[in-house]
Amino acid sequence: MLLNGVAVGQRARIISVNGPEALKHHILEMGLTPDTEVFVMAKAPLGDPLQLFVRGYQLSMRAAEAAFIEVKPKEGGK
Amino acid sequence: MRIALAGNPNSGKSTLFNALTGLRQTVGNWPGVTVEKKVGILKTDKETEVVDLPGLYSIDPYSPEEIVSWNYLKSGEADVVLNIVDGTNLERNFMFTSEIAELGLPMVVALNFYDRVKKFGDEIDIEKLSAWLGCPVIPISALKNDGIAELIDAAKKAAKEKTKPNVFKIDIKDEKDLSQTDRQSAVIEARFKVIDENLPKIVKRKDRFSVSKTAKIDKILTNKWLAFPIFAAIIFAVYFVSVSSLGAFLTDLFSENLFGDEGFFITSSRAWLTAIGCAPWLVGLIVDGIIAGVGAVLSFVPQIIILFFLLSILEQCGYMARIAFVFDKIFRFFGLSGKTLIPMLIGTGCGVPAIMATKSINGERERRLAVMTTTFMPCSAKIPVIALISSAIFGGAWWVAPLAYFIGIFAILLSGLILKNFKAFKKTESSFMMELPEYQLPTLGKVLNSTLYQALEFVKKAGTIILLAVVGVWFLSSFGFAGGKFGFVETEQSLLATLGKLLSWVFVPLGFGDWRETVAVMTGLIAKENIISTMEILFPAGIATALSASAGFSFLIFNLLCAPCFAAIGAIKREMHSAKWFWFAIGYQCLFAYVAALIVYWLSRAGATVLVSIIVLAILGLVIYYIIRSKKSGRVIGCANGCAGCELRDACHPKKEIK
Repeated sequence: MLLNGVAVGQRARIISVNGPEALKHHILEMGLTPDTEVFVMAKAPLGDPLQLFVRGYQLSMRAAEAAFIEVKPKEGGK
Repeated sequence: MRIALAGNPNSGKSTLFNALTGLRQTVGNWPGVTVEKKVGILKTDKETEVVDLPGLYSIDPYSPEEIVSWNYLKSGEADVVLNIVDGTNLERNFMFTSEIAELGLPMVVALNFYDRVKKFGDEIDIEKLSAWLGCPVIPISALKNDGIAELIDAAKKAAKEKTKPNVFKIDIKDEKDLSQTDRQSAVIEARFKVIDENLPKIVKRKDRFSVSKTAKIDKILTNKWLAFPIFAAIIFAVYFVSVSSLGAFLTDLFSENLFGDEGFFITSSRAWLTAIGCAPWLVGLIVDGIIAGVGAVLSFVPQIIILFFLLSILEQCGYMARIAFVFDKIFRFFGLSGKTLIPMLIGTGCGVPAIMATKSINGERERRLAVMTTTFMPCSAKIPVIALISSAIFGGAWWVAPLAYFIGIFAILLSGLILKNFKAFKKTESSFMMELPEYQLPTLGKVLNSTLYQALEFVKKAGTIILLAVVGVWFLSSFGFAGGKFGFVETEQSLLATLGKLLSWVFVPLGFGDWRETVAVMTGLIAKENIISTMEILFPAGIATALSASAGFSFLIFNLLCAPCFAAIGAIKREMHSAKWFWFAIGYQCLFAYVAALIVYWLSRAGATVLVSIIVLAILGLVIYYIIRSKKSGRVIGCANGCAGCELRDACHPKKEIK
C-alpha cells in the first residue's frame, strides 16, 4: 500500500520510494529510506498534508508526495 | 584561518554563526550566482574568518545553491569544516556529515541541542562517536552559548594537525546497471544503511514520543477545530499590539514630536541652519527634503520593531512552520504553497523582509509566485495611505482598512489562479516536504538579535536608497522652468509637474487623471507613505475636492497593488535571480493593479449594489469553475499538472492501484 493510505495513528515500514528524480532524491535524503519505520501522527485540519514521525523527528509531507512511497503497514501501533 | 560552517537546515546553524561572530557579518553573493554568502569574523580571534554555507540536507549536483557549497569546500579555501548536527536527529544529519567527510578536509562535528538530548534522556557516547567519525565531536548548545570555546579550540587544532575524518564504506549492488540518478539514490540509501548499522552501538535513545511535548502541543495548535480560531486569535493579537495600539501610539509620537511640521528635528534644524546663514534653498533641501523625507520613513521604525519582535517569537517557537502546515491545502488550490503565508504575514510589516522570507519555499514555481505577489499585502507604509483615503473620502468608515487587507489576500490568491496556468509556471515542480521543528521557548537574546538585524536593514535602506530618492524628488519638485529660465519654482511649475502632466493620461481611465495624482503615484515608488505627503502638498484644500468616491477608491486600489517601493523592488530583483522574471513580476503587478482599479472605478460608478452583486457572482463563478475543472481532470491529490498523459498517474490514484 502507499503511505498516503495509512491511517492516522498507524505505523508502517517503507518498502520502496519512487517518483520523479528530484522528489525521490529529496524523500530519501530526509531519511525515508527502505526499511525505515514511519508513524503517521496526524493530518492537517483540512486532511492534507500529513504529519509524520520518522527517525526521531517530525516531517510534513503532502499526500501527493506520500503516494510515491510504498509501505507495509504494521499491526497495532499507538 | 578560515572555518566553513555546514549543516542541515534547522540544525541551529545560524544561531551558531551568530554565537561565533556576533553582529560582525557581511552578506554578499557567491561569485557567479546570486546565492547568499555570509562571512563573519570570529568574536574571539580577528584573524579567523567564518563562512556560512547554505543549509542543506545533502549535496545534489543539480541545484546551483548546492553546487556553490560543494565547489567552495572542494576548492580548499577553508582550512577546516565545522559540521553542525542536530543531536536529537542524528541519522539524517550524519547522512550529510558522511558526504562532507569524503572531501578529505579537516572536520569537527558540533553536536548541537545537547541540552535537549539530555532532557530527552538520550545517551550519546561521545568518544565512540568521535572514533567512528574519525574527527573531534564537541557537544554544544548554540542557543545557550555552551561549549563554543571548546568548539573553536577543537576546530583550530584540527586545522593545524590536518586530521582527516573517516570515509564511510559504501557498497552498492549492481552498480554498473544503474543510471546516474539511480546511482545517487542508491548512494543515499547506502549511507543511511551504514548509519543505521553503527549508530545503535553509540547512542541509546529513549522513545521520543513519550518525552517530547511537541506532539501534545500539536494536538491543540493543529487540531481540526481549534487550528483556525487559534491562528486568527494570535494574528489579531500581533496586529493589535504592533499596528493599532502600541505601534500606532509610538509612530504618532515619533512622527509628530520629532519629524512633523512642528517636530523637534524640523524646527531646531531649520532654526540652526537659518542662524548660520544658510541659503534658503539649501535649508529647504535639508529640512523639507532630507530630514522630513527620511524622518517619515524612520517614524515607522517603532512599529516595525514591535512587529518583527512578535513575528520572530512566532518563528522561533516553531509556530510559523505549523501555520504553513495548516494552510497548505487552501493555498495549494490557488497554485501556492502553505509556506506563502509566512511572507504574507511579514509583508504586512514590510515587503523587503517578506520577499527575503520566500527563500524557505522550496518549489521553484511557488517561490516565484510568492515573490511576485507578496507585496500585494498592505505593508505598514501603505497604512497611512489607506487612512488618508478612508478619512478624506469615506468619512473614516471602519471597513476601509479591513477591506484593504482582504483585497491584498484576494489579489494574491487570484494571481495564483491566473499564473498557475502560465506555461512557464506549469513546468516546474513543487514540494512541501518540511521539517516541523520541536516547539521551544524563544530566548530573548535570539529574538532581539533577529529583530535588530531586520530593523537595521530597514534603517540602512532609509539612509541610502530613500535618502537619494528624497533628494531627487525634492529637486524635481522644487526646480523648473518659469519665465523662460531654470530655477527655484512653485510645485505647479516644477519638473515633477511637467513629468506628471506628461504621464497623467495613463490614469484617465482609472478616474484620477490629474497630474498631481500621477506625481503622488510616482513618489509612492520611493516609499508608499510619500503618497500622502505629496497629496497634502499638491492639494492644499484637501483631497476630497479632487477625487470622487469612485476615483478615490480606484486610486487606493491602484496604489495598494502596483509595483512596490524601490526598496522592495530591489528585493524582488535579488530574489528572482533573473532579469526576465524580475520584469515579468513588476509588469504583472502594474498591469494587475491597473485592471483592478479600472474595474473598481467603472463598477462603483454604476452603483454599489451592482458592484457587490457582480463581485459576488464573479467569485462564485470562479469557485464553481475550478471545482468542476479539478473534478474533470481528476486531480484527486492536487499536483498542478493534471493527470492526462502523466506517467505517474497511477501513483496519484491509490484506489486504482489497490484493485
